[in-house]
Amino acid sequence: MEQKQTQTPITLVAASAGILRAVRLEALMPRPLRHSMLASFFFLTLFLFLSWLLSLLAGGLFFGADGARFFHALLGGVTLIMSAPLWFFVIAEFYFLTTSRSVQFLEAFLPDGSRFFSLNYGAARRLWRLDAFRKMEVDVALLYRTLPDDSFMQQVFLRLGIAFTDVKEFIALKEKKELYLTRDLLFQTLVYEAGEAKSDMITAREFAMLLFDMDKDFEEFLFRHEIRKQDLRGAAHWVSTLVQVKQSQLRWWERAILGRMPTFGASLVFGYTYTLDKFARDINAGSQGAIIPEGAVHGKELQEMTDILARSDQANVILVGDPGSGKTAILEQIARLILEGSAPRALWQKRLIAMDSVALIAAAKQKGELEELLVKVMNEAATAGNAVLVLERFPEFIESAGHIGVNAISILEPYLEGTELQVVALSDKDLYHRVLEPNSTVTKLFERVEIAEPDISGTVFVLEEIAYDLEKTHAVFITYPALVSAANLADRYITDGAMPEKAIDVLERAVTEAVNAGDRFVTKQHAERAVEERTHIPVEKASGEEAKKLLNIEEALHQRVIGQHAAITAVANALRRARTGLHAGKRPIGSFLFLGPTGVGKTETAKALAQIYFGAEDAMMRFDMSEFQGPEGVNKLIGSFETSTPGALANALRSKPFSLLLFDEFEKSSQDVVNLFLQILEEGFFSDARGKRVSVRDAIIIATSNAGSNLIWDMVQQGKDVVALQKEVIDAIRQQGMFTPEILNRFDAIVVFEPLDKEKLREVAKLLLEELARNLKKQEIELVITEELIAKVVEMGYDPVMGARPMRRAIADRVEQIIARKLLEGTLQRGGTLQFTSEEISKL
Amino acid sequence: MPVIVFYEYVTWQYGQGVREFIVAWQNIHWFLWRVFSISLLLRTFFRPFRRTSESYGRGFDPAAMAQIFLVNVVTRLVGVMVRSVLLVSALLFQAVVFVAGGILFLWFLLAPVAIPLSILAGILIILV
Repeated sequence: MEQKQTQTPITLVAASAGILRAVRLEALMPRPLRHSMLASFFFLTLFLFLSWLLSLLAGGLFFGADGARFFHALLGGVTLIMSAPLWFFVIAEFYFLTTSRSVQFLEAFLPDGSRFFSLNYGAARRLWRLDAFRKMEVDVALLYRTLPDDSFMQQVFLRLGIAFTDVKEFIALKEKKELYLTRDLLFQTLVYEAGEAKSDMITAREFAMLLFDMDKDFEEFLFRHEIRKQDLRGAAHWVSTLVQVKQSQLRWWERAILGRMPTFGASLVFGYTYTLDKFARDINAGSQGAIIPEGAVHGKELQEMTDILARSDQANVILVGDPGSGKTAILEQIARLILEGSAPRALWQKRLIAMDSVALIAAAKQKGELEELLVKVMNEAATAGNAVLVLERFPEFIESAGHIGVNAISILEPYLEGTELQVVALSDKDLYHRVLEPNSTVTKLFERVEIAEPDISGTVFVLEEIAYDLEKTHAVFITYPALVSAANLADRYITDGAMPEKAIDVLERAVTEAVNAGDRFVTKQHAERAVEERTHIPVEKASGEEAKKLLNIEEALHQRVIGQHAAITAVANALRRARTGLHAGKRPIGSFLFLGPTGVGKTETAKALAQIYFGAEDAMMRFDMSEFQGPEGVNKLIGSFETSTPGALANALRSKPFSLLLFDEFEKSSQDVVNLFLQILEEGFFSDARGKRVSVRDAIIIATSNAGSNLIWDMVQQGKDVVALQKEVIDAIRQQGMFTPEILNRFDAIVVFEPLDKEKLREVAKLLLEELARNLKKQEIELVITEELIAKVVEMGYDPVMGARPMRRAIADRVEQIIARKLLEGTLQRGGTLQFTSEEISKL
Repeated sequence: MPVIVFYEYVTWQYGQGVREFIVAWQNIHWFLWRVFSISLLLRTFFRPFRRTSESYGRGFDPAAMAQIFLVNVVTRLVGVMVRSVLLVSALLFQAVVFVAGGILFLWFLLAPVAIPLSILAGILIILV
């Protein structure tokens, strides 16, 4: 923590806060003891009272007997005695709950003005333990000693995924250590941390942060468990909020709690909506808001919505947002505000009725029927007097109505212009721009509120609320790093849908992963596995076999590709960077332009990489760019809006985002395609024909080209070395204008493949013959590869212009032909060995 | 410490404690008022039941007008009756809370004396 931030002047507003009464009572009579005593005396007194009542009723029959009369008196006496401690504990609880409310505690003089900070019960208890109200210097190490009984910190450690046995070991090390601070520094640090959490309340959360700020050992302990400061703050905030929510619910007599109960008298005042109810449902108050800090998620949209709906006329909103961006959550929040009485007066007693407008069309088969039905439901909504009508899938409704000849907007117009009804229409962005925006009546009658996707921190708050429900449903415990991971991974790897929905989906999948694995704790690893399963992109850090494979990938590639060290090193480096988390940019994992004559191994390098790292050559998606020439080239890659044809590249990336893309003969691409690649290589994404983003961040892009082949040949003939070759070839193709400097600069590396000399071709021939031998082995025939045979194949297949390509043809045309003939003649049989004689070789 | 806690409790009991009790008592009355929507029911006491009134429409047709007038009177009467039932129920609940709250308040005020007294009374009942 920076020194200047701790030097904030502060003044105590309440030197001895009233909240300390609750703290002292708690020290004398801890809450578990109070609660158990209260419950015990309640049931005991109730039982005794009922027994006494029973004996009273039975009195007429048995009171003649002295024993019965004594028994009755005994029950009455004991009931009275037992009611005394019951009453005592009831009042003690009332005393505790009323005195443990937060109090204004200190005033801090911050650079932007003075600010008051309150103290909640958890923080007051800790200050009291430290004796900070009396002493000017306090030993904060005392907080470690009380940790075993500190349920808040225990929950924080659990949320962070740290086993309490580890915490106990750490505490044992801190047993006799002291950590003295001046009281001013203590308060200043608490104020600083509250400010960092954007709060005016000092809670137990700030004490957790205090330990982090003041004790290096604690920081190191958390570092060992991969916990950063923001994780600790987030987890402490989450636990603190949950504790405060539960605490506030205990004071059930407060208006904030009682005000949440629904009212029923008002329903008599408003009209019936019989027909509307068949196609609609009420939007009820959502749980959102209990944990999410006010305004942290969709606060701006909520404010705009309530402002518009509170107008006297034309109080109509069109809520525009992608599916999953939180349209329903915003409406549920409005319903909650109405229920709690915190919405503007114009919304008082209002019902949010969501009408499935497409179902309305399904119910009416003809134009007249639909018009009649629509007028009827709108009349009902208007005369009910308390309806805020939510039209779901509004653009689809307008379009579908149009198909059967109904101009729905003109029917809705008088209601939308009037003062009796407020209407909220829901639309996603694409359809809004396509269907609604061109209609001037819609834009005149509705005010548009666009939903912005929440950022990562906002999404984590939403996940905290979701986790609360998921934990109850699945009996699991969700750690804070799992939430953060779900939000980050959804943002980074999932391109379909919007936040927070896609993060919620990841969290739900992570919970399922944990449940299926029989784990009680949902951790970061579960979230990573969930994303891997959904996207097929490796998210978890490489380890074990994969790490070994990555370290030795050059060796494995060289088993298939002869020479071309520069190309192989470039590709291997890119892959290692990506899998160790060093590739943090938005660009693809790696993008390479392979230049060189035909048959030197450009495509073979890509195939080998796909086979070795991605598991199969199928993982490589190959695009022959000669097929993407002309004006239609881009449409073939990204899809066509007019014909609704999907794009080959968009489809390939959607189905396999973690893959290798090979673009052969890249120089043949049209200018539009090159422009598309300018974006892909720089931004790591492109938009398809429907405007949906397609991510290329998890792909390796290899473009190949024969450009500059002649120059390469000439240079090799002149005996120039490879390094000079690279630079001169790139300069030459730039000067020739084959590729613009912009596209050349976008590639991570431009690799010039050198032509294969005779020695390398020999190695290629050996590789090809070994491949043939493997195929024959499947038929249980042994092929003996001799030096003579290799030399003959090189001789037959050597073509300085075509590279290694003719060699494969030579093996197929000559060597395989002879083997086939021998098999048919029966001179070579299953289990036999084939070794070409010198005579046979010479005749090849 | 027990002495401090006892002293703090006693000062709370007859100061802030009384205020807290009265506020809680008031809040429960406020809650009942709100749940039964009493203000709204009073404000709309003579309005038709669930807005089921008929419109007189255009033209002059005394028979139809009389019929609609009758319907509207009936629906208003139904509205008055239903609201009255609800208002009476609300009043009853308020009365119960008022009386129960009063007894509890008295008991609350007397608690420091009443608690030891009930122990004493219990012993006396057993012994006598």
